[in-house]
Amino acid sequence: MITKLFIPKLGMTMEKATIAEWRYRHGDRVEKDAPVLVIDTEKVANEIEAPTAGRLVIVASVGEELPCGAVVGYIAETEEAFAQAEKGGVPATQSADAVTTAIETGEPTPPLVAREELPECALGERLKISPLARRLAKEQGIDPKGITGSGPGGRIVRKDIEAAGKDATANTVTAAAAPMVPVASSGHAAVGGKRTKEVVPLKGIRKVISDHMQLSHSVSAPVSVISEIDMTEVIALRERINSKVAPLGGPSITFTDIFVMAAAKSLKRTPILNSSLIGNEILIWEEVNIGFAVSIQMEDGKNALVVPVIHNADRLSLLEISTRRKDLTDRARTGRLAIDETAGGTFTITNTGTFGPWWHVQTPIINQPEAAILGTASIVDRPAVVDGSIVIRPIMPVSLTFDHRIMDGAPPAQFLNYLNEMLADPQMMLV
Amino acid sequence: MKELMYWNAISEAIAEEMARDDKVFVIGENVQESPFLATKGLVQKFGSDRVMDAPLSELAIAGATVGAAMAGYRPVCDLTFADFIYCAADEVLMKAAQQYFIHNGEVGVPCVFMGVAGGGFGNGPEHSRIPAAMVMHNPGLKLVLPSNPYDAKGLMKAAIRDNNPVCFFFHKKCMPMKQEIPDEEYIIPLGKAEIKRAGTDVTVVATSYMVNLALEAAKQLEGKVSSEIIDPRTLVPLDIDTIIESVKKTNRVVIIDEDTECCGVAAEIAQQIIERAFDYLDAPVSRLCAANSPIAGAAMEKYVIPQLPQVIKAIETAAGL
Repeated sequence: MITKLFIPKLGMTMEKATIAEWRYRHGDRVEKDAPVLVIDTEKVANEIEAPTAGRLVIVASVGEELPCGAVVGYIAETEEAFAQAEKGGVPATQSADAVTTAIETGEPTPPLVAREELPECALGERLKISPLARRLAKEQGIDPKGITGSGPGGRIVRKDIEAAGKDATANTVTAAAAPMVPVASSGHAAVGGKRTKEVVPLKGIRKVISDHMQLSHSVSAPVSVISEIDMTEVIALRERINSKVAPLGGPSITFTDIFVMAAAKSLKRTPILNSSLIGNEILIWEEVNIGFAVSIQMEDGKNALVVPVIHNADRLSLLEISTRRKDLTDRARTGRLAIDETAGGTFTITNTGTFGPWWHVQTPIINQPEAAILGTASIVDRPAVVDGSIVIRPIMPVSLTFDHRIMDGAPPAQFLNYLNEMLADPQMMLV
Repeated sequence: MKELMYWNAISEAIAEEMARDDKVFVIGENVQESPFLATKGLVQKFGSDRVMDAPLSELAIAGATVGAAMAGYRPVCDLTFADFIYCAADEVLMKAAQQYFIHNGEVGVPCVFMGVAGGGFGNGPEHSRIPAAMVMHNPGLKLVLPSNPYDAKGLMKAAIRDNNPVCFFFHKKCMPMKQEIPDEEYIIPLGKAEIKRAGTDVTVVATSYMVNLALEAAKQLEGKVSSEIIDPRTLVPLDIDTIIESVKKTNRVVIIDEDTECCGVAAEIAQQIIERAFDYLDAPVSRLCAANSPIAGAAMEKYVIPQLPQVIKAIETAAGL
């Protein structure tokens, strides 16, 4: 038996990955669930575990970039299978009996019926699954990703879904997409004396977010600074613009749009916040590409976060920023973002304004490999001191998390100063 | 009950209909002698006025058929070889098929174009075809492909009584088949498929003589694959409901047809299955047809037309073995 190792699809927009490291050598024996290789995706490194025990056959070498679904190696259970896998082949699954029948009768056997010859591999990112199996998987709540298909070309067919459904521990569900946690079919299992109500597998976009957040805190030295900005002028400006733009059919300008513009302009003046620490170098980026966090609802009803990027935000007008932000948000919510639209960010804004005034102070986690992230929250009427007297003003709390490895306190202070200047008095954005 | 051969069942059906309705008559080349036996003995019973030998011009014979039908008769036109429908194409496809539409439903063309079809005897490219897809593709014509004597009789009677032009292609390889035929009259309505063998693993839609090959294949595969063999019996109208119901049960289907593959009968049935049962398919709809080649003659014929080993293999493949 030969089991394929392939690049799993770990995120909605993930298309490819690079082989970062093989943890075993060609021909080594690996145990089931042992981390066999590490792949680098757009955002994160992932360990791929062995779906089964056997001898490792390496097909793709370190540094190779491959699409999701591409075969990177095999695990062969027997010596015979090892020899076969080394030749790059997996035995054809067609019925030997069928061939014999034809030979015995001596009748010609033109290949009249379309047949897929070798279960070569699922090239490209599409999951090979029969329509029936796809429907059954959906009905039974089984994630077909990672199920090893027994049909021609590795296609997942009805019996594979039935087997996965029957197997309570769902060993078959893990397959080569190793980072996936086995799906417990019924829940209610006791863990550490506590009964579970539901088991949510850590996989797909949740897994990507999880790894990404963990990575950020494990590699950076985050410091969060909290501030407050008087929004009186921004509110007035927004109303003024919208009353003029709306009759012309233009998009409604949101606070986020104004924050993107102000942040972009502030970043131009404090370039160190628009940088990345890679290896032993701090790379200060020419472009100002601002990502903004969008909460989306997944097919399973769970929420997830994606960060589309507005490229060259410093060169765009408010209207252009608004149009692009709206388009990206819409497509993020319908799962139609292209991979490069979530890539290339140099700074991120997370606006929690819609969460309400109870969400006040926050410490956002830096979106690696960026240097800082800005959190903007709900605008609330508060007492403020203006010209020596206490008045009610709409105040917005802002939080800036920066990476202390890259900079000390002065640049973030400067950044917040510029930001405050531009939001408290939007005319300063012209300067 | 009596045992009748395939050809005999057809001639009996025509005789019964001629006796029942004096508007029914037979016209064709040498129908009085009937080299393929399907009209044999009719002239003795009904005389040469109602069993008319015609000159060797299929176009003229078909034209006379269409004209007589429009004038209120119910002619049975024997094209001899079904392949000769191409000679008569203008009358069959343009006239017979379309008059009803052209005259706003006021003038019908109730007639039967019968012809012996298919391979098996190495008769070569011009005498071995089943021009089924071509007929299916031309709206206005019905198409009957009987696979055994019982069906042939019941379907021929329905074809003669139908108010539309009906192509009735009977298969050379079925000629020696014998079957018990009831003494009492029966009619098999057009558009009703029959499940010739029930099964659970794979649906096999087979047409004409291929039904018999599929049944033999299913027998040989017993214990290994449980095949459900469906004979649509008429391709126009097509009883797609019976096919869909079966596919929803087995989730796998292979279509076996003796016409050539490209744009063929199997392609049409496959598409209808995909449109109606996509979410029930566990494997691609597969097909086994004659190769896209003229039907070769003599010893070469078997390289073009599906043979039993390929039928067995096609069913196994469709079943996922």
